[in-house]
Parts: sequence; C-alpha cells; structure tokens
Amino acid sequence: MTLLVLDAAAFMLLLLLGLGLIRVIAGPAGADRILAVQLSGTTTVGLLLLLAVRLEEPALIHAALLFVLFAALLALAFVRRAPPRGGDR
Amino acid sequence: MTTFLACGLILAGVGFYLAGTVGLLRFPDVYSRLHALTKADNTGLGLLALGVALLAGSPRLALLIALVWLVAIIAASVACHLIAGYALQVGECGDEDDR
Amino acid sequence: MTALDSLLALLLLLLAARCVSARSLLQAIVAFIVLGLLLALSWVRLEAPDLALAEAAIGAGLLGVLLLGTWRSLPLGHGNERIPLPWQGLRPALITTGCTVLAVLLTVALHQHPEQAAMSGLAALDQLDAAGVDQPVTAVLLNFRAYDTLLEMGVLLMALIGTLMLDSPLPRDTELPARTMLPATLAQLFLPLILLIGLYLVWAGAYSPGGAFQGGAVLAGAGVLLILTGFGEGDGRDGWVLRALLAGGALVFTLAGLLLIPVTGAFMAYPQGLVTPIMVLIEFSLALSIALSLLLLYTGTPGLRRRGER
Repeated sequence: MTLLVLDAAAFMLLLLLGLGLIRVIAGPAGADRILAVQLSGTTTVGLLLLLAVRLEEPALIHAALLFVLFAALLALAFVRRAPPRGGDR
Repeated sequence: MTTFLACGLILAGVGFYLAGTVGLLRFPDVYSRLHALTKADNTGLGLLALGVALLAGSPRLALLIALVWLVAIIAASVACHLIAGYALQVGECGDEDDR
Repeated sequence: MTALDSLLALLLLLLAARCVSARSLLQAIVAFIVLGLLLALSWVRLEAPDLALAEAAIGAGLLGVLLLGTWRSLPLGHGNERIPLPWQGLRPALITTGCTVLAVLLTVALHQHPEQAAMSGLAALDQLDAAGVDQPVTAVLLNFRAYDTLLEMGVLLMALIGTLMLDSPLPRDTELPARTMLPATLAQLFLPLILLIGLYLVWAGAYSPGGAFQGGAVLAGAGVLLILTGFGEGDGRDGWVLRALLAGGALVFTLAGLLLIPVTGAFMAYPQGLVTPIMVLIEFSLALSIALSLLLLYTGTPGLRRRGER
C-alpha cells in the first residue's frame, strides 16, 4: 500500500508542477513567472523526497537540499536591478 | 501504524500542494498568489517531509529531511519578501520585466 | 511509475519547445530554469543520482542565476525585440528540420543498439577494489578515465580564459531593493551551510553520489551568494593566490600522474597503498579549481574583492 501511495503522490505532484507551468508561461508580469518557478522548485523538492524513499536512494535528499539552497539565489538574482541613474526612472 | 500515519501525512501534504497550485493559477494579483505559494512551501512540504521522514527508517536521514524543510522555509520566506518588495517597486515605476 | 515517466517526458518536450519559442528573454530564462528542475528528475528516473546532483547545482542553480544576472545587466529595451520563432525564416527552419531528423535517427539507433555497451562498465566494476574509492562513478572519473577528467578541467579553464579575453564584461552594477535587511541575514544563515554541504559532497564522492564537480558547483554557489547579497564583487585585477588555486586542480592532477611514473611505470597510475590519499588530494584541489572557475565565470572578472574595497 505504501508504494501505491508514494507513486500516486509523486504522480500528483508532477501533474501539479505541469499545471503550475501555465503561470510560468502566461505571466503576466516577471514577478508572477518567478513565483511560479519557486513553486515548481518546491514541488520538485517534494518529488525528490518521495522518490528518495520510493527508490531507496538517500542521495536524492542531498539533491533536494541543493534545490532549496539555490532557490533563494534565484530570487536574489531576479530582484537585483540596475541602480537608478539621475532619477529618470 | 507508522506506515498509515506516514501515508496520511504525505497525502495531506499533496493536498496543500494542490491548494497552492490552484491559488497560483486562480488568484487575481501577485500578492494573493504569493499568499497561496507559502501554503505549499511551508505546510505542503512540511507534512510531506514529515511523512517521508517516518518512512526513511533512519534518524540520520530523518534529520537530513528536516534540514531540507528548515532551509526551504527560510529560503521561501526571504524569496517571497524580496519578490513582493520587487512587485511593489516595479508597480510604482512601470513594468520593466519584459525588457 | 510508467505514468510518472510519460508525464515527465511530455513536460520536458513542452518546456524545451517553450525555451526556443518564448517571446522575450525572461520568458525563455524561466522556462529554462524549470526545464533544469525536470531534467534533474529525469536523471533520478534514469538511476543516475550523480547527474541529478550536478543538474541541481549547475543546471537549475548556477546557470539560472547566471542567466538572470546577464538579463539584468542588459540595457533597458535590449532583448525586447521579438525573437524569431524556429519556423520563421529559412535558416531557423533548416536548423529545426535538421535537429528533428537527427532526433528521429538517434531514437531509431537507440532502439537497434545491441545490449553490449555495458561491458566496459562491468569491467570497471570488477576492478573497483583497485580504484581506492567505493563509488563506481568517482572511480571511473578519477582513476580509470582520469585523462578525460583532466581534460574536462582544462575545458573549464579554457572557457574562463575565453570569457575573460572578451574584455568587455557586462556591467554587473545591479543592487538589491534597499529597504530590506533580509538578504544579509540570509547570507549569514546560509553561507556556513552551503560551505559545509559543498565540502561534504566533495568528501562523500568517495562512497556515495557526489564528488568534485557537484561539490565545486555548490562551493561556487557560496561565492555567488556573497556577491548577490552585496558582500563581495568582481575585481578587474587578479592575484597570484587566485591564479594558483585556479590552476591547482589541473596541476595536482597532472603532477600526481607524472611524479609517480617511476614507481608505477605508467602515466596516471597510482601505487596500491597510496591510492586513497592521492584520490582525496586530487578531488579537493579539483573541487576548489572548479568552484573558483564557475564563480569567476559568473562575475566575468579575473579577480574578486570585498564590496567597496579598492
């Protein structure tokens, strides 16, 4: 039963990731797209944790850890902007 | 018993992911979408991680999974704060996203 | 699991199509980042956790940050012009057709491929005891196919030299929204953690998925975090320490191969008793070089400095 639940949960998560892509593609603003990317990241982390147990491969937890660490870097890189020059913006 | 509990937690986590994704798609503006996102980040991943940790079978792996969740909520709160601030700023001076 | 794999393949194709047909740079970049997430999942399903780790660190992490940073550095209005779709115009159409034909041919070839390619892998597994590490992938990378790995390090250095030779690094004088202190706190919390995980991954390469490339990429991420949160920045001048560390990986690797020729009689063969310490030494010097090369590729400068320092 556990295997069935794990498989079903993993499939559901991937389906949700696919649905979230609508926001990645449709936007409308850049902030919306990056938000959708953040949610895809969290969903991928959930998937990796599920698969780590399902496939008995603990290294996938390390991969999940890398994803959550780098998610913050992506948000930082997105919000950095050129400093306003001469007050024209 | 533990298995049942773990399965229940995982399914509940997926439920929160569902709520987060639906919110991301259906809510009208950036700020409400942010609000939906945090549900998936904190509770969805949290419940799922708890369920997976119960199944992992070793304290070391369970702690590692807890670390993943801890880092995820720190990263998510900072990311959401930054993106909300950005949306507020850009909203004031026009959309420059699709440069 | 079949359902999961089919959905994964479908989403991969969708996102790949989106990457080349997006109407603006940002749209292409976000599609590419999500593609990286799904690629990592694909590597998991292909039973290659090493590649999933590398994809997580390099593909979805560093590459996304690099692309977003470059996008931010472009002058306003640049990149806003419509990117032609793959099927508009003669040349894109030809390229698209060529790629499609190649993909079909590769699929056919894959189906007719006899099941004998695993022979060299089995031979390597047989010899694993002699490699000095317990992890087959690391054994192949650092011992059995050491020459390939050395040249890969060379390729990374060449890429860095090529980037520096362009001599017109995009101005990265971007700044954070001024009103928040959170990024600094984030750096303080995450920096020790990223460093620890990076070093752990390098060390763990000996017995579990991980190794110099994955660990090095994570260490580079620590540097990128410092730059993104405003603690460090690229410097136009370089120092000899930085150069030494950059060349260190390739140098240690080559010297270990050369100096032991009198003992073992072959280039890049290591004596039985010393093989594990030599592996660790090579692994760590490679990881440092890889981390610095990736970090300098991000800044586009030959040096690094504390922010505001002259």
